[in-house]
Amino acid sequence: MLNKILYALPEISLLIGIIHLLFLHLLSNETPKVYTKTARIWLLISLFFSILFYNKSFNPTYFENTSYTLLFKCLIAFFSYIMLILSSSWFSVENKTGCRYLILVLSSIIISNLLLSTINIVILMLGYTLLSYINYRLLDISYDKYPSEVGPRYIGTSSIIIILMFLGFSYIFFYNNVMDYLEIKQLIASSHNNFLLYISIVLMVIPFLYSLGLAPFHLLAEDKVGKSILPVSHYFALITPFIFWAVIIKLNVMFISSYNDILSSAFKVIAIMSVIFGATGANARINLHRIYAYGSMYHFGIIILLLSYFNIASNFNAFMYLLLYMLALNGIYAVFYNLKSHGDFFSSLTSLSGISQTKPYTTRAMLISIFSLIALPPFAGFLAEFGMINELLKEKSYTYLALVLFFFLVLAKSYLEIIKTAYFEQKIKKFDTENKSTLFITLLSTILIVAISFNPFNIIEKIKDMFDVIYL
Amino acid sequence: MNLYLLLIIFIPLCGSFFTLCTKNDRSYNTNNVYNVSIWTLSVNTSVILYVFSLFDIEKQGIQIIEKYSWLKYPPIDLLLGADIFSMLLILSVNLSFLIAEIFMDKKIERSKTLIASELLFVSFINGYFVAADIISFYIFFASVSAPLIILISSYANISKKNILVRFSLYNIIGAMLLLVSIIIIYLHKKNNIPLNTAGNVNIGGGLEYFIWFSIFLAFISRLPIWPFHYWISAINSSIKNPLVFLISNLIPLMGLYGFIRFWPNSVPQTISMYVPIFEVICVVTMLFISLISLINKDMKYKLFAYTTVYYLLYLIGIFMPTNVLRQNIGYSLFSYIVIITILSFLISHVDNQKKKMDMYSSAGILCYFPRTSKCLSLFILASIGLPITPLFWNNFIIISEIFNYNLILGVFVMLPIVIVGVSLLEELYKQKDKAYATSSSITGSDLSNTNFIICITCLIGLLFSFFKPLWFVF
Repeated sequence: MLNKILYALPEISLLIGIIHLLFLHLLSNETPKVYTKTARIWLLISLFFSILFYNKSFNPTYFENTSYTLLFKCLIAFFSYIMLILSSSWFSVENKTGCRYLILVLSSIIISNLLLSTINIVILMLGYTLLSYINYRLLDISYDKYPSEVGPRYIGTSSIIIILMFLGFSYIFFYNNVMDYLEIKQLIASSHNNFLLYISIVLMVIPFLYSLGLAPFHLLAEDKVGKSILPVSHYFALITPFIFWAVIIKLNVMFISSYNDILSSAFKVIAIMSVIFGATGANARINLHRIYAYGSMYHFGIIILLLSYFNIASNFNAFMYLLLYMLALNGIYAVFYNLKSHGDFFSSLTSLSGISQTKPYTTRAMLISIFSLIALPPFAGFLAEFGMINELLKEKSYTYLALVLFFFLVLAKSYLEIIKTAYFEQKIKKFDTENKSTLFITLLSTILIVAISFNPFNIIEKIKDMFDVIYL
Repeated sequence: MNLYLLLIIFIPLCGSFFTLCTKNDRSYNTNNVYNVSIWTLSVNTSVILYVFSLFDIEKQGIQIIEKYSWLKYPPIDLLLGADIFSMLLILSVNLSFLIAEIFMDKKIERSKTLIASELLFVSFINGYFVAADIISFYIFFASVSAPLIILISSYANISKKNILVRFSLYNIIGAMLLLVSIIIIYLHKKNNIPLNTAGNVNIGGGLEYFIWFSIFLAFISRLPIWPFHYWISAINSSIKNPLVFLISNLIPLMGLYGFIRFWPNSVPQTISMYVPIFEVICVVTMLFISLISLINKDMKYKLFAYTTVYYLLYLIGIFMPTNVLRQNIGYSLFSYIVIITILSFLISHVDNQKKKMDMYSSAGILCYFPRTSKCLSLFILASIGLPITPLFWNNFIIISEIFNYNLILGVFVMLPIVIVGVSLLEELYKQKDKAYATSSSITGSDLSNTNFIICITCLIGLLFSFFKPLWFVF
């Protein structure tokens, strides 16, 4: 019993964090800094226990912790920690406590831990539903600043998606009485030509593709990051993709790969659609958050394209692509927290006009992140591009490569427009002084983008070792 | 294990970092950033000269090699190597920037950005010249775009906003094509191969055509040849800062060097039959640009036309079916880079004085500035072939070889060279002509003593090179 409690400490500590925040909110009126600090401390404690019991789980029947899950838990905790520091400055400026936001983020991390560790489709189904609800509550945070029509739309579409997922789940669980990933794999092997089983598996995967905003399931992808407040936009841009990609890659390896002959083409169609919609959509937008939301669609398209080859090397390349893309996007979001004028955070492209004259450090940080996004060496994005091209050439997918590279140029144009606005347009706004902590995080993000490409301490090989545990 | 080549890349990189860390220009001494950059470039030049001393100047080929482990997955080791040719280019580029730093007006806005990007450019271009395997070659080829984009964003004319996007897209297309080709070679050979063996890769079929045409287009994207001529001329005409002008004038050097390194012995057979078409395109571009320079009144454009014509001359020289020209091109490029550095600063100085004196035209302006006049005259004469620099002797050999290869090609190469020469001399004559000089208000200033001494020292150095190209190697 004690063992089980010990192994559940990563989740328990986050739960305690939530209770602590609730008590703080009820008993005293603290500043946003105190709230975020509390959340960060409990997040670190949770991470510490995750590392300590990296291969132990409180219920081995339903959950399995490995280096793979630890890798994603660390990444989610790292990016969440940065997000919490940055969000503190946003809440301070807006004069809000941010308690609800922090509680929801910590809850989301608990669910993500469970989703990552689970090897059971019942938990998967429940976890996804809970996470969708948390996401809905996050989208609902608007402080009356923006029209909050995204939340109801999100819960509406998510409900349909969850019903579809439930249909797939029902066939597998009630009809075949199977709920373990390995059992599903065996089931597919024994009845590979069962059309209903195939459809059920597809219905189990679609919700994750929808949550990642991949075309043609990109209904709310841009609204989630474009219309929500900055910390929520940050959460949807950086944290949820990690959670969902971690699950998709795991499902891919565990049992989806059994349908690789049929699903490969479907993944490729989704990938190419996402690449096309993402690149063209980014050029048609003038809101920075939306530009990057479409950029994400393009990059996620490439990740699903790499996953469509269903082999060890392409899976790792897909993961590396995700990680390096997220590092660059993290740098961009750090910059967003520095873009404010008279206490108002802005997100339109024109607001960047002339920023290079007044905010040289922020502009340089933004430039480095954009250079990484357009895969210029020696920045991290180059490694991602290298891995992607390497994999597509190895698979002799020349047409896909040509398409991906062509739309990469289209996407690059939208990023270059941002640089053009920052440098060439006349200054139209007086920018506020940057917060020290946001400046520090911006600098840290920039250093990471540069440093990782040098492969310090053979970090890429260490990550690969952790990632490859999923095949054991 | 030697680390000299890595040091040559690393010193400017550190300099760039230190420049960014210097105290803010507005509140503190503006000389901080310049001092950092001058020290950085001086130290780097000393290291380069030391590396030269380790060379056997009689020997051809790579003489220093350094190997660094980078990635285990996929397995990639990076190789740095240098021969006399690459070291000559590194020395000339570092010397040029050192001269440029001393020449420069220290009261420029955003000097931190300028100097940090300049040092970053120097670091990457040094890396490009010492890259000895296909992947490190690509890394440095593409990475140069980063400081270039920053500099062009910061210093290009504000009225030409789309230049940046076009320039960057051309660069990205070029880099992308090179990356795809390099990865195909990497996958074919199952390893990262030395640069000088890339020309002998035998893949066969359409893929081989794709590789060579991609590599070809990648290098062409850095040279002002049709259809890539627009961006570089648009950028050059929109840049007023002489240092950024110099940097943009060095971009074609990267394309040129790429051709030299990828095809060290001869043009790969796959595309050798297309070489005459390419030569015709080069000659047409040369003629076109030289004729425009004859019409254009702007001295900076004339200098740009001159650099373009000479870059294309060297490019045609590279495509000649002989190996003997490479060393000549190296010696010639060394003086050529130093000469265009000084010319770009002298022309900038004249432009600034013209502005100060509120003159409509620069005709007769040199009559007010005897030192500038002397230096400009000497360097223009040196640039067009006055037999006091190695430019004269080596260009003579290159042109002779072209004549030897094809008489008509030789005539058409000679023609634009003569035209740009005439165009530069005509402008020089106008600026020196006393008939235009009006002594009513002389508010400008002549070249400072330091700058004058530097010009003369450079000229003496070039004169030594005329007699012994590697006189500085002991």
